[in-house]
Amino acid sequence: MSKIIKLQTSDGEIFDVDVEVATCSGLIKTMLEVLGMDESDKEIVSLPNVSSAILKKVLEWTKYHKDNAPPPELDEPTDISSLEICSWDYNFLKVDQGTLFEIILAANYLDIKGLLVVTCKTVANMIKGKSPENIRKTFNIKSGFTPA
Amino acid sequence: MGFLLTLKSSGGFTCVDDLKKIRGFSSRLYDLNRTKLFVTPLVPKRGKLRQREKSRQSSRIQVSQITPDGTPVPRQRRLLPRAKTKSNSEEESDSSTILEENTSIDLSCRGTKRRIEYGCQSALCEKKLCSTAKKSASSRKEIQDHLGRIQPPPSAHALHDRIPTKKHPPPELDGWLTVFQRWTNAERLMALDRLIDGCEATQVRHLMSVIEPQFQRDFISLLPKELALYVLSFLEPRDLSRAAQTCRYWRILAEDNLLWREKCKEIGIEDLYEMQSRRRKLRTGSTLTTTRSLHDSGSPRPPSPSPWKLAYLYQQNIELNWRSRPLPNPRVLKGHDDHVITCLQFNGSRIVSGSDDNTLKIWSAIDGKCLKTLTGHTGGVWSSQMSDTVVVSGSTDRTLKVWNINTGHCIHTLYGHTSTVRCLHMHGNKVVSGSRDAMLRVWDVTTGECLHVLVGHVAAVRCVQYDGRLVVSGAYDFTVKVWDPEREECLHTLSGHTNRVYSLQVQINISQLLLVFNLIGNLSLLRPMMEQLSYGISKQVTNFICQCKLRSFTDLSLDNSVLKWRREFVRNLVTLESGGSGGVVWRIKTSDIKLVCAVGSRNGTEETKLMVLDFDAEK
Repeated sequence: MSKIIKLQTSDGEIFDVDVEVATCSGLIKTMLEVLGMDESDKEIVSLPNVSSAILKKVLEWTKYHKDNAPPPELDEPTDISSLEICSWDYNFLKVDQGTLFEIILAANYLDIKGLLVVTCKTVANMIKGKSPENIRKTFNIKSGFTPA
Repeated sequence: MGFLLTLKSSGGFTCVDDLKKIRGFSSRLYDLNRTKLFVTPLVPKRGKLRQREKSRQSSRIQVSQITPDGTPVPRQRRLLPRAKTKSNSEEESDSSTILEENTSIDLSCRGTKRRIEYGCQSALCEKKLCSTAKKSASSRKEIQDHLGRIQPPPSAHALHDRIPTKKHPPPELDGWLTVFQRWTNAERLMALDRLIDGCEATQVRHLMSVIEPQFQRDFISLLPKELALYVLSFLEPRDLSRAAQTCRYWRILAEDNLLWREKCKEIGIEDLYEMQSRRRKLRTGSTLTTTRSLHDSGSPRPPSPSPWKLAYLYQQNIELNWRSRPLPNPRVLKGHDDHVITCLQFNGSRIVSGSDDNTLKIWSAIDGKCLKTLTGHTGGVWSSQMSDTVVVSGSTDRTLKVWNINTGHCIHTLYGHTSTVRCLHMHGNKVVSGSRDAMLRVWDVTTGECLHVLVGHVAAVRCVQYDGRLVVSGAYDFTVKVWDPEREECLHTLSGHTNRVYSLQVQINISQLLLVFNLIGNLSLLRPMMEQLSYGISKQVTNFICQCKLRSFTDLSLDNSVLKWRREFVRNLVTLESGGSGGVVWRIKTSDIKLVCAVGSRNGTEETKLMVLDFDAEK
């Protein structure tokens, strides 16, 4: 029986998460290492920077990649740029820009490198091949070069 | 007493003086005493309006003398919206719209002066219909303009057709919203569903255009800087350049120096200082003028471009010059009369050509001048090497000579070979020579001493490479041998070829591949462990230069052209007119930005010369 950790999101919701899934997050992993596993059993880990909707998405991603294809080791920076987004991730990240934005922040905050890579790469793909005008349209960028 | 100028043909009445300002309204009366102009709207048809304006000039102008009492009040009432005819104006008890002298259009209504609603609204309406106008609030001038062109809606429908503005929302709106806000989330969702169901397609589309931007995020501006840069790091340079054009903040990030350092690494630029020193012309050239012109025009200076980005762009420009831009005119360096140029060396600034006229010549690659002629050999020069300080040459007189590159003086003459010295390769202060006597010798260039003799080939040694550790030689005995010169021992004999081996290149840094090819035209890629891959290369190819980055190959062909290869044919860089009748390219050498080739013929159709092509990005 694997251990469960309780994560509380910014809006107060509490998630029971398999420790193995939760430790995909470098933040939680470090936290548990520092605090020690036993004490953390009853304690609730508060994640004030993540909303429940976003944590749900993040957990969905980590669960999938724990069970299925674990993201390749990303030690070499050159590996990252050549990394292709797998089709599951591609569909998983078919969300509105606001959600994607929140997931990037959450992945960064929780220190989930694999998720950060695919999300940032997804944004990069939204920029790729577009004219400046189309980039502005895509991201609703108001001003071009009017004096600040 | 007032004078009214009317245009009979217009179907209404217009004061000629103010026609331009208040087109679309007809003046009924111009009261000189009160400086008020009574106006009513014209028949709301745009087409007619234009027609009327056209015919304005030709219209018969009637001047009639009237009094304020003569104002045709009933007609005005009929034309004006009912709501607006409740004039409280003390001066005018009738319902005329009043246009003051300064042409500001005001309507007295319920005791408060309000801007003419429907004029303004027509303008808005017009904009919506055209859907081209900007979203900005219409200025007074615009209103007046529109007043001129657009007819107000008929009075009976004015109230219903009135398009609400933020200032003047529909009266029930607040109540409607209050009800909505009292509902629970589920109720609201249901209400919204129903509401959208009841909307027309255009309204749903409007809804979408309002909602969509709410879900858009300017990731680059909103994310923490390091994350934004991380996103940008996935982009190709081309996309980065386009991203830099979207807005100010994107430009700052897309100019990030470290970002471009990575891009430079990807194309093999590791040393910025080297690039900058090569690019100094660029910095004093066009970039500066662009910056200055921007500065002069009063706009704030753009962030100074990243040095790595400039290096990248510079490299890309050179690449384009090689690959696709119009070829530069070659600089022609004439010498060696009608003799054959047998060997060529080039270090970026100096060229050394060796000839069977027994001499070598040192040329400046910058201005094309012949700096020195090295004389002393008693036979044709058939091989050469150069370093920063010396030139080494091998000759049919069986000797090697070491020359001072600056003075042109012969420092050493190296005796030992018993036949023509056909190939040389220098590393550090050591030079390895291959001879028709089937032997290789290793020499110390500084002392002129013969250090080692490598014996093993059974025919003339034709080509040699030395990396300071191993010697690789190709010979007319069809074999390639790998030697340990210190132990004077042959480590491997590569015997894949079925004919004389004429040329070889060793790429030590790319997993020790040997590129070898022979007269039959097989270019072989050999690993020292006897694996062999064969490429079918045309017979003419006798020499082969592999640029160390493996990004581009340059081949020498014996017909009439130098080809630049990059996995596939790219284009001809040099084409000799005498190609079919005897002109040949004998030797080529390249730097990143220059191509040097020795051309000529054995039958006099092409003069012996060097051609230098400069592919530098900034000239």
